[in-house]
Amino acid sequence: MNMKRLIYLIIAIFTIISCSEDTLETNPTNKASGPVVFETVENAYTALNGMYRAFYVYGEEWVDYYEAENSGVAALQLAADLMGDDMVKNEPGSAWFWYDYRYWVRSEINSTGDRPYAWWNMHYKFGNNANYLIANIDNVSGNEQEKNSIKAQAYALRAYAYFNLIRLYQRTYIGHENDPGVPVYTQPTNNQTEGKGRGTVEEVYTQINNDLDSALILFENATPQKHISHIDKYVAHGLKARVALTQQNWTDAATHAAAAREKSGLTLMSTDDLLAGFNTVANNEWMWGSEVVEEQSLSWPSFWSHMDASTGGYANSSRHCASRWLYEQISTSDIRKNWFVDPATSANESTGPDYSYNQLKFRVKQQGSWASDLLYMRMAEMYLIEAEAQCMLENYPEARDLLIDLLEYKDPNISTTLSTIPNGNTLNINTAGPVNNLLDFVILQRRIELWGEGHRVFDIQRLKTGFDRDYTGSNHSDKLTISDPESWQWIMMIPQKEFDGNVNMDPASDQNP
Amino acid sequence: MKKMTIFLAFLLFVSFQAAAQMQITGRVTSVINGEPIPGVSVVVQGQETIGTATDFEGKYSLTVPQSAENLIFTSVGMKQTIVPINGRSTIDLAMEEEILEMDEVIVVAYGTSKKESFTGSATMIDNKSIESRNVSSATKALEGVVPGVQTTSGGGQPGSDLNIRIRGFGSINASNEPLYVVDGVPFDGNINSINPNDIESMSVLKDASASALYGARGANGVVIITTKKGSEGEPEINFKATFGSSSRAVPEYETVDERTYMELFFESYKNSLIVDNGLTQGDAIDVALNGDATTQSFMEVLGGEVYNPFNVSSESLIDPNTGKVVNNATLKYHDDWFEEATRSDNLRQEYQLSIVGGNERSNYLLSLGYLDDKGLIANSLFDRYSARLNLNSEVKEWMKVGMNTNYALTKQNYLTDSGTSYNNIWYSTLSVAPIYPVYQRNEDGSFVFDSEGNKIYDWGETRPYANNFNTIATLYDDKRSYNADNLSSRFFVDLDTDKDLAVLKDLKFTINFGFDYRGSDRLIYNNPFHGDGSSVHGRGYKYNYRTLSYTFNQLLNYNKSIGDHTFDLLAGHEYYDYKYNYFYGAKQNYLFEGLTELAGAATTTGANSYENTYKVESYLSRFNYDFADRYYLSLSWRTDGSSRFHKDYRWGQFWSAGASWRISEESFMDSFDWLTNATIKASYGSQGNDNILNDDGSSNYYVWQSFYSSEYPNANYGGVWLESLENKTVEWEKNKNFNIGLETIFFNRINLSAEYFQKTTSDLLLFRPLATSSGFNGYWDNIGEMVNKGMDFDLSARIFEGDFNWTLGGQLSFVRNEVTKLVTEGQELVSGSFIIKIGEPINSFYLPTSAGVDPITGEQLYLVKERDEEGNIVDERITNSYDEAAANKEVHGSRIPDFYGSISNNFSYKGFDLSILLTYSVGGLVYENVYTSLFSTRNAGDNFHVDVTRRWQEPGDVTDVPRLVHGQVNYATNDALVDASYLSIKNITFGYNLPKNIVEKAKLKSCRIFVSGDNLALFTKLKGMDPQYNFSGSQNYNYVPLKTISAGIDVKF
Repeated sequence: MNMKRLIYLIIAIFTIISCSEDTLETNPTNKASGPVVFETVENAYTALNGMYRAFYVYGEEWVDYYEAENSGVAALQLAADLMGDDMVKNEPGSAWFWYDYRYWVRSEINSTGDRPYAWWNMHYKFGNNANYLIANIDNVSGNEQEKNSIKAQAYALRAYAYFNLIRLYQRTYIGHENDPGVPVYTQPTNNQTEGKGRGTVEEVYTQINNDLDSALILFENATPQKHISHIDKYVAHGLKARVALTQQNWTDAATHAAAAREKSGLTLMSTDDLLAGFNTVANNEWMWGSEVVEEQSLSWPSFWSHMDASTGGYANSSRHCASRWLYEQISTSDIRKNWFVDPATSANESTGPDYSYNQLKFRVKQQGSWASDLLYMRMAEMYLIEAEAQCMLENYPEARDLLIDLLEYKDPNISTTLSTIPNGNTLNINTAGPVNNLLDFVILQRRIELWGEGHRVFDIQRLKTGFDRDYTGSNHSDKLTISDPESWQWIMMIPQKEFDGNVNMDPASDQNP
Repeated sequence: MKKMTIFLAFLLFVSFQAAAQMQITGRVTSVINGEPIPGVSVVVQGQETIGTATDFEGKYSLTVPQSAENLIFTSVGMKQTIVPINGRSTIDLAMEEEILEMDEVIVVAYGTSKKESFTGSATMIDNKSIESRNVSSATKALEGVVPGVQTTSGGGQPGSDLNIRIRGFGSINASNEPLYVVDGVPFDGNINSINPNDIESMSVLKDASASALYGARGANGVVIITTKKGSEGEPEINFKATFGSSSRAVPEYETVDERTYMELFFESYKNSLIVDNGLTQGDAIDVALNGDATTQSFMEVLGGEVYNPFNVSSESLIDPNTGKVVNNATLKYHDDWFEEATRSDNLRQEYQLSIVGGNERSNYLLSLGYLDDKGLIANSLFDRYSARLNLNSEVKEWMKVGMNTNYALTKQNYLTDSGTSYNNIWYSTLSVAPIYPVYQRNEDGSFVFDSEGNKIYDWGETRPYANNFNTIATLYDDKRSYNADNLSSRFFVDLDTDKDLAVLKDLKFTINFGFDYRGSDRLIYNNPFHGDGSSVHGRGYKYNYRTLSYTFNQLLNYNKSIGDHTFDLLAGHEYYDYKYNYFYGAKQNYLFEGLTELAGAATTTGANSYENTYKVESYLSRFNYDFADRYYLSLSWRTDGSSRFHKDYRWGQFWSAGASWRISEESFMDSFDWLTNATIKASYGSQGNDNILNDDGSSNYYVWQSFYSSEYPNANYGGVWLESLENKTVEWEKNKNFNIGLETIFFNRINLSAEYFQKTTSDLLLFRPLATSSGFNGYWDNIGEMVNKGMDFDLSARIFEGDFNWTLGGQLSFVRNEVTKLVTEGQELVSGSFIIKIGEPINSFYLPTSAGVDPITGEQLYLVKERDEEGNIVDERITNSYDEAAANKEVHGSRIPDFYGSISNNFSYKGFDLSILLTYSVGGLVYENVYTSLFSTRNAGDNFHVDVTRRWQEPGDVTDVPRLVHGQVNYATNDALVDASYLSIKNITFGYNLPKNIVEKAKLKSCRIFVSGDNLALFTKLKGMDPQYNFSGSQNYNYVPLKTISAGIDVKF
């Protein structure tokens, strides 16, 4: 080779291998960019389904640690019952949810693993994902009814998120209408988004109701429910009924609860289904729930591992039991008594399901699999909402009819029992009081029927009863009593991270006491 | 050349034959092993034309003029020796090895440099100090030998690497790990795939002048590994075998025995009945012992009578008056969980075979290695089969080519070794209460046997601790394996243009191509019958990882000397391409025992895959100037375009300037004879860091973009979830690095160097906070700033030389770290018990302040400091409310030591050699979360530390351990911080070179036998603590570092 050729070669190599700028453009293979998601209605559906999936993802989406007790909505529901008086956690086990039960969580504001941050973060992420859908769906190509369905669901999901937020971070609506609320966002976030202030409770409820109303209007001209995880018209009515109940807007509560039941094919579950473990969306009473397939099940951190003591999961050494008082209120003729282990026949094993009052209501579909479904709303709740509302409206016969419909097939003696209970709508029982009137009975039935479904601590707040785990003969392992109905104890403090990034919120003036 | 010398000598001999002459004969041997040294040049001082060279027997014969006074002996690798003739006709010489030889040329970025001309800060260690350590991963040989380098202990998991930090912390959210370069090309393989015996040297580049040429990836320093090459001469075969055995290098934490455990748990449970259930002391004792209708007895809580290890039933085991186990109780059995987990055959064996040879134009090295490292725990092991081939050839006068290929197959059976899962034996053997047996027992305490006469594991069906789990059984029945194929190759073509062509004279062109391939698979199998997999009848996870990266560069080098001026110019282009493929599958419901692969399971529970790509394009240049071997200047510049950033912010410019002055070469220094060398050097420059990490420590390649994660399917519907916000302006973290140093050699035997450095990292990637309520906590932005400054001292003194040699080495370093800028002045980045805050070192401890234990109630007390808006303390008070204390956490120091370093001693006498390496660290704190977990009363069945016996028991007790209340939470305070100082005997090696006559009889060239001990002793404040577990200063339930005693033989023939 002569030298000239060598020089050419050198120059050539330098030129050829200096690559073009495009070479340095790289993109991930497991993520989609924002614009792609809002090209077609089919793509937009994936953003909607992603939100429903977020109801039951592993907790790393919400927290930096303690992921195992932060698996989304079911975890919140379990904690909400544990923070009340009807569910007993008999021992710490691996200590998941133990802190909720013992009220050790509300002030952990610096921790990105604890409840104040987890629940704030989770619900606002829901809100923001919904905002992206609401803002972009009109410009997406595709069928109008499909788009309406997506938009309606996004509105309802946003309402659902804010309804949880306002109940977790501020005391109940009644009496606190003008107290600070939670920041409300209706536009998608970008890196210029400025944090909002707390506003008032009233404003938050107005937003929630507006969203649900918008959803209901859009559902009138929308494709029908594709999957039971999807919010449809009836679930939206159910959400509206829940909100109205909290706002003590009895007429609305009754109307929407009734409307929610009108879905064709919806019936109260059979006595067989009542004892089948509350584990499948195929149950014809379920209105809204997640269908958990094997591949998407969460194994150890799942609701089922925490709840069902027969699976070898966490519940095995940390049983979730009925409060003894509540158990004793269930009549022996009531099939629901079988939801709990009879102390008279229990061997009280150190671990596993055989332990006095241990719950058997929630059981996995099949041993050896964590793929059991999750329940967010069912028909019985609608009966109970309506019954409570009718009671408050002093429409006692209607309330009694609803109770008979709901309960008679579960307890043949219910008519007799009911006949002994006088009408009346001043609530007497907090935790363990006597049933003096019809409202007491409705609330008692609500506690029994919806045990473990995530309502109790919110009911305690809206009913302003406080609770007492230290009643005579209590089987609570923590005999805490919160008698002040206006207590802040069950209200989370706002996570420090919020104040770190929000110029419109100041810990000195905006933090919960 | 040699022929020429002889010829000249002959001519001179002829021409001077008239003068008075004498003949001198002799033999030159090595002082180390007495072997003859051929090819030693022997000349007359002052008349260098008179000379000869030794033959293969090391013999020479030279006729010198009568006037000759001294002979000069010179040989490559040997110390030049001047011997007075003194009229002798026979002069034998035992030549010493040139100790400084290795130091003289050091491997630096894109080439080598003479040590005295190098303006940067770098330390090079040679193969001897690597080989003396019986390590399976080369990184472990860096500990204690490079000033300014801190290492973790790396743990004892066979085959594990350790992490290193060069001069403090370079980043908060990006990587702090240095760049590894192997044979001139950045390395993406596993360090443990490189056989440490194949390594010729490792260079650690510490400042900008040394590492700016690695621009984008050099900010955390660079470790350059250079492997051995072939050499001209008769082929040499080297065989080396090493055998060793391991034990714990860090002792176990001291935990209580059965008797104390029962007493403590009883007391804790009894107290909970008083505190939580409102019972009186008397009732509580009664209920705790016997239980009642709604409350379990203490033994029931512990799992029932089956777990009472005493021959007295639990109702009468505890004396109600004293709370003590009654005197007549004796143990029916005793199991040691850790001992059960330990393997008896923990042998480490290693075999090496290498062949080196070559001729004038080509040389080769072939090396084969086999390592079998079994570790301490049953079923953990690391096997490595490695092969390396290095070929270099001068194919034309103007063209050299070479290749260096390494293949390593590594097989690892590993254990979970962090966190509190029951399958982590380091957690479970420590935290299980001593009352629980490993094997099932009959009522009299004897073993229960199955039909085949084997002991049966106790699965703990009623045990509150690790229910239906036996961590020892899991060691055998579950499986965790990791296999990797590593293939790395380096190729180069050197075009050294023809010397005759005037224009291109001194010009050299080099093309390098190197790739690293790693294909690996990981299997995790949980057996169907017990433990983690039992709830789903067995579960398997299979992961496949494939990494392929290559670097292609073209370098142009121009070197010119004019008089005292020497110029060296480098210009180049480099392209780097990295691709990572991930595949994962999971199944459950296993069909048969023994089928551990996924094929053996029925139900698919997960499958996933993705690919990551990363590319960097670079242009680089360096200019070195040297005047009269006294003044040196070095300038370098590099620009990198990284695919991690948006195209408008992609290119970063990095540079450095360094200068050094060999002051000892100045004429005014001539009178300082004792000062062999003195160099002053200084450098300044900037580097970048684009290795941004995700929360889980993996690399984030797409940091600026906004994404929906696609991993949100809802039943059978595809689903996506908004994951990140866009910020196009994200770019490099930058590092400004200043270094000033002094290097001295006194009396030609004491080397002392001192360096001061200041590293300022700016544009640190931080999450610029948004209100969490916006749906995002923030987005990545270049905001923060951090400073590391410190000094490194390095001393090496050859105290004795001759038959008896003693070299003493000492190193001392310190670094101070301070975070100087965050998003806002008052921002606090709190993560668990750690905080990052302006004015404090990174990862400072952030904990409530303990105010001791209330002597009246036995409750933990906290000190709360109320502050005003300026942060001044306005009130101090003591509270028993943890909530209040948690809202008033304080900064309590950090892990960063006051100073650290090492002391080494090397002795040799005749054929014997002995080396001792000690490492030390003084100051800093460890957050002892493992120790404090042994104080927890939350869960029944968790073990206690012996220090729990100091607990508060009754009013008036003054102690630091609060009363025990079962089910309560023990919150961490600053009491959990323990002094991190330690002294460690890292390595002692004793070797013996067999005498010449024996070796020759065996027809060998040399033979060395040695014994060596690694991690021989560790002295710390707290027994059980591993102060080097990590850099932030927490502890984990990890595979403890191992003490390894080995013996071996090293034969050359």
